[in-house]
Amino acid sequence: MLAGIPVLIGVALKLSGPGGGGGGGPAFLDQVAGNGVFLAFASLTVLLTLVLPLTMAVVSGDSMAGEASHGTLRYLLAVPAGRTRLLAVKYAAVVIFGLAACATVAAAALIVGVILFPVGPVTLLSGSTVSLGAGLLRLLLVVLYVAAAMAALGAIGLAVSTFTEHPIGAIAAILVLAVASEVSDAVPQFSAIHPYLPSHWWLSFGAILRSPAGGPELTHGLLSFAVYVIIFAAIAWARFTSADVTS
Amino acid sequence: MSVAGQGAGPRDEIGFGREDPPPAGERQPARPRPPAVAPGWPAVAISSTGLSKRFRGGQLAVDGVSLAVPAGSVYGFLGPNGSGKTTTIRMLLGLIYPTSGEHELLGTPMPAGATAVLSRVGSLVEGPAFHPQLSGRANLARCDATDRTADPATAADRISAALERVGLLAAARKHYRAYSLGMKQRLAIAAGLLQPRDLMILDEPTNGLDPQGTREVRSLIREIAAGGTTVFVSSHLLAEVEQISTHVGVMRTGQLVFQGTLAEMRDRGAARILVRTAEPEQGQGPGRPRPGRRPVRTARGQRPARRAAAGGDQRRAGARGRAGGRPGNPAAQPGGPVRRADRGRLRCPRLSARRPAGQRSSHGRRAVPARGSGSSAPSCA
Repeated sequence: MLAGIPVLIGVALKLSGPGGGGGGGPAFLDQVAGNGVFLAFASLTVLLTLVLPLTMAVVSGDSMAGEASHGTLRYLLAVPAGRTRLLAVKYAAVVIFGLAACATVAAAALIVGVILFPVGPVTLLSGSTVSLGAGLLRLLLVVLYVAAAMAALGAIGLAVSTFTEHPIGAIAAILVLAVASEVSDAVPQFSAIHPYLPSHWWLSFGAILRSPAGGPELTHGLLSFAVYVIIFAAIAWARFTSADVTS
Repeated sequence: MSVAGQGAGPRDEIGFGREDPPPAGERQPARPRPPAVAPGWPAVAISSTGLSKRFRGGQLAVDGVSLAVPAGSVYGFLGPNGSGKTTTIRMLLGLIYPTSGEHELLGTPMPAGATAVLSRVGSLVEGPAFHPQLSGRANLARCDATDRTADPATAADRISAALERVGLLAAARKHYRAYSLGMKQRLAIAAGLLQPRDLMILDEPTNGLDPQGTREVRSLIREIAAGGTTVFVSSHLLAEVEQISTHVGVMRTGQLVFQGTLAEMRDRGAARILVRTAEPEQGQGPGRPRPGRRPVRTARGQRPARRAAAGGDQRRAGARGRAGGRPGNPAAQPGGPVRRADRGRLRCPRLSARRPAGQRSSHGRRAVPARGSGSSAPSCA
């Protein structure tokens, strides 16, 4: 399903003609017509708003609460699996899923972009041009950055999941958190807390696409992700190792 | 209220291996004997001291339970629903943290040593739980993969062996959601048999099984116990537990009211019937006493007495004699009730139940008070 959306975007852009979209659409979309590689960036941007957080919410919300609701959690612990080890393995699975999801989106978009649009040297946001290989390398970095953002969301999801036995409740809660964060980010009156919101730095990967790759945004973003991972992983660990498993 | 304190006290009061010899000439079905403890094993497989659990909300689910499960025995953990059996089992396995008290499994303090010792413990807690979309074999493979002490190279063989022991080899490839309840229970037991275990903790393994399934599980438990594994079985059916256990622990409203060998439990519940009648020689009945019944002593008496219901299940009274027996049944009649034929011949017998010296029944009754002759209720049949 994740791969289907880039295909849709690519086809839609192709059909709307070379000048379609203009400057009003999301970033990169207008550049797609010039170079198919940009379809990958465009897809990631579009999907980061809702679809990728949704999939991360589903996977991380189900991680512990799903086992509890199935009743298999008590048997996992009795094997024994060790509470800390179980939590770590579940989180690793969430992170790997996030990486796979982002990679799928990028790969699908790349394939479609190559098929539908001309491909050549990549024009960066700062104006300079790099070769196709370097452009693909930057795409890889973008994918990693987005995967890190999703891993941070996954840590929040894991923590929420340890508090409940109902996976659907956990999933809904995580999604609400993600959307609330994005909405708050768009409200100028909350500008004081903007840098601390988890979703504020999701779309900052544009810095990778400048001529000297990097920049303060990028480091801020990665720092934010790391802090969120540490805080919420600690919450999840504290809760899980001290809770009674009555499911 | 009961003799709980004595039964649940220090381990040396349990009396391993001490049993009354059966009366001469009595036929008994083969009962498992408490085996001698193998050298190198902890003498007690499960021990706990004052284990308690109070849930948020103030409910005291388990109150000062001190278990002592001898190694190599089959320990029946009895009690009605809601008596705290499952909560105790969850605490033993480290799933729930006790509010107070300590416990050890196989000599290792828990829950600190959980990762070290739980791989030698197989368990079935509150019903089977597996993933419905996987087959039985795939579910067991997942269980085995989670166990760090399990050797992956022998996994397939061990899974097949476990499935064969419980009789599920033919259905191993079906999805779990297609299993009947009996098959699900057996798969849960198979998960506990994937590796050689020193201890099996089974929470109501025959729950929901038909008689055939119950027989199969019983024979499986006997087979496991014969291999030297300690088996801790919880149930609310004394009849079930009697057939497989060597030792018994009885729970009631969170407290362990009795702990000891099966024979001790029967002794505790036993009482003699004292029949006072004008015709004592009629009360003896022809022939020798029936097997399993206590001989009836007779003594001369005059007054009509309340009719005692001569039915009743000795074992129920014995098992739950401490656990809130029947207050409306003044002459609890284990052992030797007066035979129905004789009752007709006896003139208004006075029946009273005497328990062995030093013990009290839970309802504290002793001799039946005789009714006045003006009473309109019939006093004897």
